[in-house]
Amino acid sequence: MHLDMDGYFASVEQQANPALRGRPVGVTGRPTDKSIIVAASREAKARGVRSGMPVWEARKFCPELVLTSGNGNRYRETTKRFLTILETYTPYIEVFSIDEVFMNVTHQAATHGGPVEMATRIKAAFRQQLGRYITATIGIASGKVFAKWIGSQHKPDGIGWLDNEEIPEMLSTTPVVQICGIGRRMEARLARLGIRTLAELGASPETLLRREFGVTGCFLKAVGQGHDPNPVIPSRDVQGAKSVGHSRSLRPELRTMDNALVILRGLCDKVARRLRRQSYVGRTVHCWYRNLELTGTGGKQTTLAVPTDDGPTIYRACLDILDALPQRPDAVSKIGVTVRGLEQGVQRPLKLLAQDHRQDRLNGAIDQIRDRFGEEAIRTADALLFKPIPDHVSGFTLTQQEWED
Amino acid sequence: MFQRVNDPIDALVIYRRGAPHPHLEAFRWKRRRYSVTETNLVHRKREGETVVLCYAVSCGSDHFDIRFDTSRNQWRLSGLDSSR
Repeated sequence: MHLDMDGYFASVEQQANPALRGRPVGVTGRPTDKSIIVAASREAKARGVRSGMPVWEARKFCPELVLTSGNGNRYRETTKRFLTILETYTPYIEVFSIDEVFMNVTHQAATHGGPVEMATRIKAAFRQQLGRYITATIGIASGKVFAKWIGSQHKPDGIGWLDNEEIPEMLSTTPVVQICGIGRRMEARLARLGIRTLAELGASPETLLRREFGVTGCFLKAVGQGHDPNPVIPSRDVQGAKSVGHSRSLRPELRTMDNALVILRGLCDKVARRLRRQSYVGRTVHCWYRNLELTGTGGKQTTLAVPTDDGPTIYRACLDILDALPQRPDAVSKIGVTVRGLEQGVQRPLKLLAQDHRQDRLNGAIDQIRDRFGEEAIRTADALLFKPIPDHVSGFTLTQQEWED
Repeated sequence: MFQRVNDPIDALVIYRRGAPHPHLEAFRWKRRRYSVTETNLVHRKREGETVVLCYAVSCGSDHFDIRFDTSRNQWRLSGLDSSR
């Protein structure tokens, strides 16, 4: 079963504010023409507005579009609430994103009168407990990608069921790009091989697909034959992060490298804070950027001799990476840092120098102050110029830690 | 039009057994009493150690954002969307 909230952020805003109901609403970071539409209400979508569309372009489709700033806390909390509702139906929930989940209901559906009845009850529970303007579309099939596909054919606020007997016809008539995991680039590569539908994909030699796409070729072959080899992996069973990272898109007037470095300093602090909260240290630092033309990215990674959870150490590693680039850019549109090679903090080598112990004590004191008084309570002087993004413009994700809090 | 404010209010709440949060029945702001006709959405947020409950409520055709600081037991009006 695949559950996808309809125009999620916009529907939450319409539930919260009756003045927005029935109107074309676009959720953005900052409600200006230079922003991007993060989510559009069904009224806005009916007029051609889409997520990812610049506001100035969206207004061409819908001049009466109402913009509202997003509220990350509101969306994360609403997600926690609907996950709590879903847990009363099945424990096998894989959180795909803040507004999408996969569920294995193979053994649970019968106790609810079948999968369609179960989906109907879930939607009724959402209406009652979340509000009648926060709706979901549910797709039911024998595999994840097929459940997601059939749900997409019944949006918004619908229930779709793809019976196994209907799969052969679905394969023969469905373009490959409609399947999750096959994007425009892969579609083009498959088209060059003469493959346009899922049935043609399934009929293609696996050796050809593996030669072209590596291990993904096995997945493509299976999907083309009506079988998704990937099971639902309950999110609560997934242990341990593999990396911790943060990035920031820069406003057009702030895209110089000097400004980007100020942003980067703050991002390194955020990464370090998350590492310490989860008791990780990291060995590999990846610093990256996106160019001004928004056409490509650059950057490199470096492996530290000693794993770290310290913001200044991560920042120094990023500066070394940038300085070593053959063509360091003067301006960037986005900058980010990711720390990989995570280990549990208790396993790291003991520090010998007094200054390293002092930094650890400082980090601990800063963490205690932020735990008690909030993230804005204190900042180091060299990160003073970094302005954390307010709730209403920051990225809206739900980490495993937040789900369990 | 939505306006941001940050004014203390007096709140009349009902604590119902088993309810996830107090029910806001009415509040007084600038000497005027507002009866809540619909609770549209309630969510929690953390500010350090403090848990803040954020209410989006309607009083007839006016809509209000109200926050309850559970540590200080303080209610504040944080925003309104008035039809007037």
